[in-house]
Amino acid sequence: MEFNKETALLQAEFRKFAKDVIAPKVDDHDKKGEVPREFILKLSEMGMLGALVPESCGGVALDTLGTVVALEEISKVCPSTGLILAVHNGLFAYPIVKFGTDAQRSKYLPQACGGEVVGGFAEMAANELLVAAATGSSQYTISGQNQLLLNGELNGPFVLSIPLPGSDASTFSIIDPGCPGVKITKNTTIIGMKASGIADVRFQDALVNSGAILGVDRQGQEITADVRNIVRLLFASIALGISQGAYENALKYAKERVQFGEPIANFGMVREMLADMAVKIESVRLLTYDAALARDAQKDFSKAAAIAHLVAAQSVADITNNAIQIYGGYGYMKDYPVERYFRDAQVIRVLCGTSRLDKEFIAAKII
Amino acid sequence: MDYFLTSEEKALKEKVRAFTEKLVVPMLDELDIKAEFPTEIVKEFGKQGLFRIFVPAQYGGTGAKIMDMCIACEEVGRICAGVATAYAVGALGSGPIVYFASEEQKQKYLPLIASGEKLCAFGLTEAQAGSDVANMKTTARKEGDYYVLNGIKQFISNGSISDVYVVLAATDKTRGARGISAFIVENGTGGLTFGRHENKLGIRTSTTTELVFEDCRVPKQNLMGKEGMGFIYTMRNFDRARPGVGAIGLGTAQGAYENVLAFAGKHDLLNDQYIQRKLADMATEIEAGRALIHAAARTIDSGYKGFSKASSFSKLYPTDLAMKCALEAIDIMGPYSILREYKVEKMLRDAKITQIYEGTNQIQRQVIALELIRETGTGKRTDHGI
Repeated sequence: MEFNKETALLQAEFRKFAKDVIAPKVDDHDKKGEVPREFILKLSEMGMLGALVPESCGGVALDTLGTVVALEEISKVCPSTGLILAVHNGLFAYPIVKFGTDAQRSKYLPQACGGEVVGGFAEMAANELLVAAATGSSQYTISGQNQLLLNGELNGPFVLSIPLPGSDASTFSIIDPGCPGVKITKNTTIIGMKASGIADVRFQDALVNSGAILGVDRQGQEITADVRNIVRLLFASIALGISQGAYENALKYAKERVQFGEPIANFGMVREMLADMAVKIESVRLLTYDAALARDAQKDFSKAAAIAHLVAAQSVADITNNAIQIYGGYGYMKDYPVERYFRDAQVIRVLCGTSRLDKEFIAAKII
Repeated sequence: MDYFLTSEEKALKEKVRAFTEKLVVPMLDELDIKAEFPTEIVKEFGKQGLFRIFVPAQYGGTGAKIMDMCIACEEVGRICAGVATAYAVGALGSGPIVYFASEEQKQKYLPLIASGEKLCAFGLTEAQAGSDVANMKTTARKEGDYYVLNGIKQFISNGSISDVYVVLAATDKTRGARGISAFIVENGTGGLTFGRHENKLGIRTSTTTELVFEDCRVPKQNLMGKEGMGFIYTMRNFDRARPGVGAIGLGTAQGAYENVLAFAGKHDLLNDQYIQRKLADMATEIEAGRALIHAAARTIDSGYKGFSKASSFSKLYPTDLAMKCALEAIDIMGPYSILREYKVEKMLRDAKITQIYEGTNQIQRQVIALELIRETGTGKRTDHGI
């Protein structure tokens, strides 16, 4: 796809940043399970912490295409950093921009855009919460846990979906760091995205006051449906970046690795895998960019985003799997990058909506 | 489904299932996290007679039936492919001794292997000799009553913890594949050390190391069979061992499927047709994989010679299936699946190696295709098929 000059420059800028600044530290962060805090400030200077926030709220209001291109370039090198940015932008800042009160916007967005805080989101499908109506100025009391608090280790405020007792309805709220009854601990049991700071959060009689309700009470379904669209798009671009990263490594290795007297890239079965990877990546890229352009044109991009996300999730699984296969035994070892891409791929496939949800959504749209 | 197992086979399956669940399940996380060899579990496998499966009756075994090996590998693999690998390497290491060693060598090693007192491994792969086995650089130079081995073997499963290694080395570099010979090298032989321990994506409890040979002097009576036959022994050994790898893959697929089924029940998803379709496909393909493994194992055990293709079928399909079922499990179980406590993320990491080790699945396809080409040329099927 031909980009306009602005997007082309942005792509070049993020590609260079990922290569020069992020790449040298990726393995270290993955092995130690450390959040790459040192990049966050730089990325905020580059506008990536306020990408989807209007200028009036302190953001840079980058277009959607630019946002997905930047995420792709970062995720190609470090999927964990890509995930941190996507969660912050799509699951924290975006819902506040769209549904938050004026007070919430001015409280959270300038700080979020400036990189002073990185916002999080508790994966709704992992909520194990007991919710009760509270008395006085508070709205709800929450106990229980969520093992997938995205960006949790970054200790910022986070968005939580609160299932309401005795109904299908839900409410979103913003939980501040240090809120009494909320305890966040590192989660070390996740297969991949080890540098993205996914944490465990436990609630013990934590109070949510009415000022912390995102939008209006019981607006959960509407917010979920809306946020899902943008998240599908952002996560598709992370999956695209992972796919591209795994593919580039596999391609390079296939050309270098000699067996039976010639590079394995000469062998038909390897060529078939490489061609298949390239085709899938090109498909995902076009679908993702197309959905982004639809959003930029203020069109309904929801089906396009679901299709892009579905194909991206399936492709990233196949591509990272075959990247290891091309590396053979070496690919299975932690000294080579492809096993990391494979692990990271599993996380992005299932967070905030699996293929099943995508297909249900697409079917509902077309029937 | 009735698999028409004999009463002994049924008893074996039940026994292995029961003690694997008892021994391995409580250790799963620890084995994976610490990435240490499951010494105690393997010892107990020995006591339970699991290594006798690899050895003919006259050397203290139960007959070296491929069917028995597949049953055991599937059942252990259903719980942990890492432990299954640690176990099955015993078949790969003992196979050459069972089939190609001298009577004296057999009597010396097989009873101890059968009882589990001595663990054995197979030293083939090198940095530049992966799929291209014949490209090995390790050499064995004849010097009087000894062969002197030099070179580095890589990615050797059960390296360092095994007592006996069957090692391939070039005795005549000018003859390529036909210049490779097989040796029995005991742990403790001077000049054999163990290099780096690999840090792997999965099967982390299975120890993988380098075998480093530096002027390692091996008595000439430890040569197996004839000089120059090592490559052929290797290929024949693989032909017999591959259904066992397929069975580890099958066990992994079965384990993933059972986890999905339990998850779907717990989360009230069983009436969802999307889930039903996934479960039905998994169950069907697992039965197909099991039938393929059983058929290959029975073919080999029947004494029929041309089983190379059947053996590759039985490795290729169930190991690809292991990956497929594990990937499906991730999708169906959603965000929970990526957490260790839900077990399938480990199964996915483990499944990956089954598509790679003992001949990548590309090599299996190559074996199958070459056999098909040969059949086309001769007009004869090499198996029982019509």
